[in-house]
Amino acid sequence: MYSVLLLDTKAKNPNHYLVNALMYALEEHPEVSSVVMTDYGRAISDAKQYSCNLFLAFDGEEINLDICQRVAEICSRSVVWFTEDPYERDVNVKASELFDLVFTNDAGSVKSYGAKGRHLPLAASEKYHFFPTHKSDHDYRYDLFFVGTAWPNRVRLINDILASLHDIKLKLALPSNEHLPEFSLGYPSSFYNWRVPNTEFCRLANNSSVSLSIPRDFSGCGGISVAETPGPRLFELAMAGTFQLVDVATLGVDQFYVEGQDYISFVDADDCIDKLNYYLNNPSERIVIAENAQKKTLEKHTYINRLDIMFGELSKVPEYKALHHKSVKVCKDKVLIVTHNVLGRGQFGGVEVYQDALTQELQDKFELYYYVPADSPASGLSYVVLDCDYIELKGYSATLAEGGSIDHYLSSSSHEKLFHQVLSEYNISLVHFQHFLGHMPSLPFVSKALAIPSVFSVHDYFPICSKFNLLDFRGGYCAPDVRSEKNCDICLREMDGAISGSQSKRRLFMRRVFEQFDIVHANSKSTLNMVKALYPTLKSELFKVEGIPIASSSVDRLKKESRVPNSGLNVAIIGNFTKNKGGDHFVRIFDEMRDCNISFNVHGAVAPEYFEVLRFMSNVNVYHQYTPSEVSGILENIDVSLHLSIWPETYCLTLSEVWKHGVVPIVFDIGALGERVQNSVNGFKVPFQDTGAVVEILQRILFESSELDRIRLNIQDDYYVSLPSHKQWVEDLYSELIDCNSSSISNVVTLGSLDLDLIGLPVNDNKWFKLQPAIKSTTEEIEEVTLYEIEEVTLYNETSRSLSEHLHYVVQYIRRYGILRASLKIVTVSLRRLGTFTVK
Amino acid sequence: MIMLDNRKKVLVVGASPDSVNQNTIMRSFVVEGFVDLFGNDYVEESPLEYSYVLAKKFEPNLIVAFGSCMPDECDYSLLRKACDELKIPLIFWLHDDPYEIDFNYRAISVADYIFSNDKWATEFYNHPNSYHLPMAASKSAHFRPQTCNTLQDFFFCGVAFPNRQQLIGDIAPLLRKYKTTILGADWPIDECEFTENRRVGNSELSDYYQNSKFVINIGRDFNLANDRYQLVPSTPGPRTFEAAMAGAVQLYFVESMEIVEYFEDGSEILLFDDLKGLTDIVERLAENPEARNSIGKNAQRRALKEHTYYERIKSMLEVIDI
Repeated sequence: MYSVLLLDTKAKNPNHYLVNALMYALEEHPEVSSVVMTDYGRAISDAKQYSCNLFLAFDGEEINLDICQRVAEICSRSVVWFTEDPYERDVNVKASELFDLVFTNDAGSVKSYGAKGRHLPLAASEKYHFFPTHKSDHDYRYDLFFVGTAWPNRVRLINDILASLHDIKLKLALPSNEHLPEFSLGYPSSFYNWRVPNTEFCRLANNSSVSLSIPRDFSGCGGISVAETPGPRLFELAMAGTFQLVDVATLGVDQFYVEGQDYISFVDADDCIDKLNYYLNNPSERIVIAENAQKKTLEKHTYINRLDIMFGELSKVPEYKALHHKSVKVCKDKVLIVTHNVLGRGQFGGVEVYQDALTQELQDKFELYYYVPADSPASGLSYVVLDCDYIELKGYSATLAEGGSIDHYLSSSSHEKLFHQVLSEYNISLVHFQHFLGHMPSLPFVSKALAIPSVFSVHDYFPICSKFNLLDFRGGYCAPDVRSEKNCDICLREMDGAISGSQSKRRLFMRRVFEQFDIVHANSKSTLNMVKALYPTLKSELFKVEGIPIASSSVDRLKKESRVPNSGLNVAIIGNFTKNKGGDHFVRIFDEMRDCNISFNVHGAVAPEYFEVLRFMSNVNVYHQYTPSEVSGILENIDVSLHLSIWPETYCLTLSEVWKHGVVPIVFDIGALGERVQNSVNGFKVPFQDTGAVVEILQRILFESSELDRIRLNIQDDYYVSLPSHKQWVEDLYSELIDCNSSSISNVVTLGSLDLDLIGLPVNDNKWFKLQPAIKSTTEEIEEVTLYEIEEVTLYNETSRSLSEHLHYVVQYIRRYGILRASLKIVTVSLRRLGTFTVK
Repeated sequence: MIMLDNRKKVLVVGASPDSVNQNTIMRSFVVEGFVDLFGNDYVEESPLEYSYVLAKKFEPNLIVAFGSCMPDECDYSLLRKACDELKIPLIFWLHDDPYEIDFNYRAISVADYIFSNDKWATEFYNHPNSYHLPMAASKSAHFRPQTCNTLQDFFFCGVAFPNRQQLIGDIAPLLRKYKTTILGADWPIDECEFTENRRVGNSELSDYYQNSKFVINIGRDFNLANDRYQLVPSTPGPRTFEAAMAGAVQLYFVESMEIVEYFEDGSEILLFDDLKGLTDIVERLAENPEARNSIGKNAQRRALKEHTYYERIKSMLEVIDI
């Protein structure tokens, strides 16, 4: 018995009804236990899910060999039924290598496929094409019927008939196309330039006394072979119960029907007209011929009959394929890491450090590659594949069809096809999406279509908003999980000039992206809760929560000695010193505690807007950006660390670092920081943005050290993740997913080209972002002021602007960045203009 | 109306958000059909945007999403969630096949049942529970009593898609001999003196049907998302049924014979294949109001009996397992 996977190889096929007809036949055939009709988006997963043992590819045109090869590896037998021979024979011969048997619609093409080739004409479907024959001549609405593309030979014949038979009731459809010469039939074209659905084609034929069967004549087209087997129309018209007059140029008819019994042929226009006249005037003879043809078609020329032939041939082919895909794996599974950046390339942060540490650990079991934008900031036009040592293996180009920023896109055919190419070229077994910045969000649809399992690690909130720290136009956390999505419209309009509904559109698509992953890895429960709040319909089974490790593989915590009371406090702020990380709060704390015996030590890259103010603070020491190996030295003499991010961190590796080094953290209660720290147990936790509370705690522990010592002793190993345990977790996850799902192929035959369209999931609009139409301000005559423009117009570029324009920009600047930064900016500019110092 | 204990609570929602849907009036006809069947208290209607909240509050026995899946804003995840939580079927009744069929994957992935307005298009749904269910007419909105006062001989209203322009242009010599009114949008007014670019509301349209000797019925050959299979429609559109409900005598160009499943040729609708055939019909009937009234009345009777949204919904419920 066959469990059949049926695939139309032509994703956009106006003759797809043939596949439907074959589907019905398969459902009825006694040798078929089940049949699944699939498409390129689901073929591989369907083959596995339904344990199909026969892959039947139909049509042959535009075949995607990559998908077909993967499917063929799963099913124990595979056959193709080419329906466009001899016209597509050259391409079909190449494609036929994948299949055990090749069935071709054209007798003259069989030998092209060697020992695998078999002749199998198309047929008719009782469901679609059968109509009872008429018993009385009065039941026919039309005398003559023809439907077909307006090939010149057909036009000539029709014109000859019309010239000779003026009172004939003709039903004619001769749609044309841009490749065919223009023509006229001497009457209004709307009555013949129309198309008809296939079943209605047969119903109209059934209502016609005579139907013409006229092949396409390629004789003027140079070198095109002629089909030696009639196409499906012959059989469909016979099933429709109409009497056929068949042009003798139609080869091979006599293999299926008997002239004089089942049909009548004609040699030229005059012959056709004579016979038409005769049979219109001899209805009983005509009706008998129509009935004969219908009866023969029901008995011998349905798709069930064709399947009998196919299965008969197939039974002679052994199931040798079953051995192939059970072969032992001899090489490592290949994992592709899709990310925005890697260690050592420009500005990098915790994610890159994590990726690097993980990749180094996983190398013994997996072969790992990176897929990253080639440029920074990512243009969306070039990508590279790197090996795990960051050696560039190959570069690729993509195009953005509508120009603009890649951040505004949801899908792009160019990027999707490119990703398919990469997955096939490197024979990837699993994809781990670490970040989508610089990438097309639609890529997971491609890996899903190839049944390549994928994992997505949520390191920030890019899936929720393009402002992935969730900081809105006011510069503060926007809390999208508890506030109306309408605020997103307001925010994105203020920040970027986006049209209303943009966020909703983006999230709708991102939800569908989430559904393509096998696992979504959240670093913390708070991250998981945020994602689930915005995407409540995602299934819980999709998610796994697992922290991420610090780079060092050692888990031994450093022991610190008890502090001497009143001996001064060393406080560290490690990681990038930016507004997102709480820069404004830090500055206020430094300022408030300037007279305290506290040394604040900033380790990490400092954002330019803080350069000047930190220089003037005597209780602050600013150090350079550090490497992971320097962390121990940095934290050796540190008592307390401050983690005051103004956005919900997804994990915060620096928190793990400080715990590991026996440093007590003070955190804002938001995101993973609030989740991981228990107040007065393993650190201090203050209400979000309660800067004063941080000051209070520092003052308290400055003068009294026992609480600090107690908390330090509470810090346990399981507050942070070790690299070995995380490595094991990832290894197990990868192995499980690959064993269950992998469709990697033993020898890549060729590279296909999948995009959302081919997968069957088109979208109207590739972009989520559209600009609000420009609004003129009547008072200030400033057009379309976006905050990008404000960024560029510095406050000291005054020569070309009026005072009111300056004031406008100042107001916009304050709204964008806050009063503190604006003040800093004004001070900087003023001092520069006074020439008291130069900016380094 | 059916017996009390057989009544079901139904929530009818738009298949696309009302913010992008300009054709919500047809949804009101579907609602009317359910109300006729189950009574007012058993039927609620909602835009897609608010459907989840209303579903949880109203707790229907089934949800029917009516309309089109084409806009990218169509998000059925919450609707599916509501149906899963309430353990009720989610039904889609789509009215723009095959013109927008490429986007129907959005419904296929979530629907328990799909009903398509077009019979041929139904064949192309790879879904185990897909059925054909044509559009219909609303008695309250479209019924008009027959009248002897005709204000024009020929009437057509619609967007001037290329196929319509072509046909109107080809029969213009005939139309010019009579009082002809062509309304709608995008008509090249320089070419035909009887065309006017004026949109007509659904109710006013039925008045025109009532007041015309002949109503020309030309389907639409204009696709927005029909690349995958390039399907040609087989089922007549809603205007066919609405015009019949208004008692119109329709002249129908035959591109598909499925029309005879709904109206009988000659007695309820007049089929033509060419200009000669059309001319014969018109010359026979233009000055024969009794014959025309008979055809119009027959069509109306058939529409009342078989082609209301009430009847369609009964057909739907015969198939659904609730």
